[in-house]
Parts: sequence; structure tokens; C-alpha cells
Amino acid sequence: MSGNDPGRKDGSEAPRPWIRTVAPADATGLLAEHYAAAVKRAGKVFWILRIQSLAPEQLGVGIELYKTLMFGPSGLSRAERELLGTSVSAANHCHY
Amino acid sequence: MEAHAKDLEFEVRDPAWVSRVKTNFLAAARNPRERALLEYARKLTLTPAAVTAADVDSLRSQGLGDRDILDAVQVIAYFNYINRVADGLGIPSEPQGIPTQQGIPTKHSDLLEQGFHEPRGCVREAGAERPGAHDVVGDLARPSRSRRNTRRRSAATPSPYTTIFSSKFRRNERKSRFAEPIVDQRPSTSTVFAWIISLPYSKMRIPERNNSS
Repeated sequence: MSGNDPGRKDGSEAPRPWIRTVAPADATGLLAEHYAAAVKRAGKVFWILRIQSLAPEQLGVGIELYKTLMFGPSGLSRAERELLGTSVSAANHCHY
Repeated sequence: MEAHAKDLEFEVRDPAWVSRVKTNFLAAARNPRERALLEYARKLTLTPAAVTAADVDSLRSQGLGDRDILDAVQVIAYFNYINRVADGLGIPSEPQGIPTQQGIPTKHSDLLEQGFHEPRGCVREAGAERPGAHDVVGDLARPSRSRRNTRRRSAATPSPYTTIFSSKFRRNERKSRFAEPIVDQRPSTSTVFAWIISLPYSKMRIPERNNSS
């Protein structure tokens, strides 16, 4: 993680993941394109995306897979797909 | 879970039900088809090696075709994958909130066209092993409020026509009077403009009066 992450007001360190990631301000090339697209569609670069920032080429196909599975044509309704996603994450004890 | 719970809520508009999904998703199934999907998802997630052809048949018996079964497995597998990415690398939580689809075009074809949405995995909760994982300062400020989003966000919500009380006394007079003549009013655009405009104008007149005296 680069040094231009804003610290918190109480002076404590911002939480960081266990591997290095590229901050949006430091992104170049393909990664910068992915970040820009993320900001456009979601308002900011979320951690689940940034965590993959060392491999922008992986990031791109992952996003495409996600969009195809969750929003592409399917006999499963959107609600059914989101229900599966929420339930799998619940079974995995994920908070997010 | 929270991120997709929000998306689920967006789809079904039933917060109480979504909260039941989060606490006990098997019990939250609203029909036999959902129940079959959720039982299958649970088994494939928690005990994948134990899944058998009979489990697939239970999906079939609810009217799911082979393509539907493939789609279900892909979605279940994708979430397990992205959950592992998040768990394996310790991604921080998103204190500024998780993106929702509210305020963003609702038609799925629109969503796809605009490339909205991104994969979300699971973020471990800030626990003993990672104290202070909450309150991450976001990379970039807030969900986008483009002109288009703003319009959709604020469209078709008529302003409340509740009556308000306003006093005919000036602000500095109010507490020095025994009675308040209270007027029942409906707020209107012109009233609001009058309030906004009167303040700077009244201030602008003061030096003028001072100069002339």
C-alpha cells in the first residue's frame, strides 16, 4: 500500500490487507483503466477490487465473469442469484 | 454478505426477509424452489465432496433445467471463490458503506451496459487478530452522483404538504413578546425564495441606512 492513504483522525494506522496493493493514485495502464471504470460504476475503488491490483489482467476477467454470471441471461432470476450469493457468504461466515 | 444482502434487498424490497436470509438462509426460503437452491448452495459450500447426483436431481424436481443448474453452480462457486480471495488476503471492511444499486438505473440491461457493479467478496470483521479494521478511510469519496443518478434518485418524490408554523415577529422580538401570532402555512417555492432572498437584501440595506444618517 502506498503512503498516500489518509490516516485516521486518532492517528492510528489505516487497516491494510496482508499483501501489497496499488493505491488508486498510483495506478497506471490497465489497472488505472479498471480503477476508473470502478469509480464510474460504484463511486470508489472497493477493497475487493484493489486486493487484486497487482495483477490487473486477472482483475479484468474476474469482473467480466461476475457481470456475466450475475447480470447475464439466465433461467435464474436476479433475486435468486443474489439470494445464492448472500447465502454462500453467510455460510462462509463473511461479514461483508 | 452485507454487500449482496443490499443487492438482494434492492431486488425484493423486503428488508425483514433479507435480514432473515442473513441469519438463517435455509429457513428464509419462500418457496420449494428457493429452498432447493439454498440447500444445494449450503452443501456445495460447506461439504463440497459430499454433493451427489441426488442433490442435482432435487434441483431438477423443482423445475430447474440443466442450464439453470449450471448457472446456480457458477454463482455458488463464484461467491466461494471471491470469499476465499478476501479471506486469504485479509481485506479491510468498507466503513463508508457498501455500494447499493439504489440511485442507479434499475434495468438490468442498463446495468450491464454501463458496466455497473463489481465483484465483492467477503471482508473479515475487525476482530482480535486485526484490531481496528473498521473505519478505513475510503480511497475516493462517495458513490457517484452524476446528473443522471441524481435525477433518478430524486425523481417523483413530491414534497410533503405538511403545514408549518411561522411567526410574524422578527427573530429578535420573539422572546420579548408574550403572545406569538402563529400563522398556518403551506410551504411553497415562492415562500422559500422570499426567505432566501430577504436575508442578503436586508443586510445590504443596513450600511446604506447608516451612511445616510
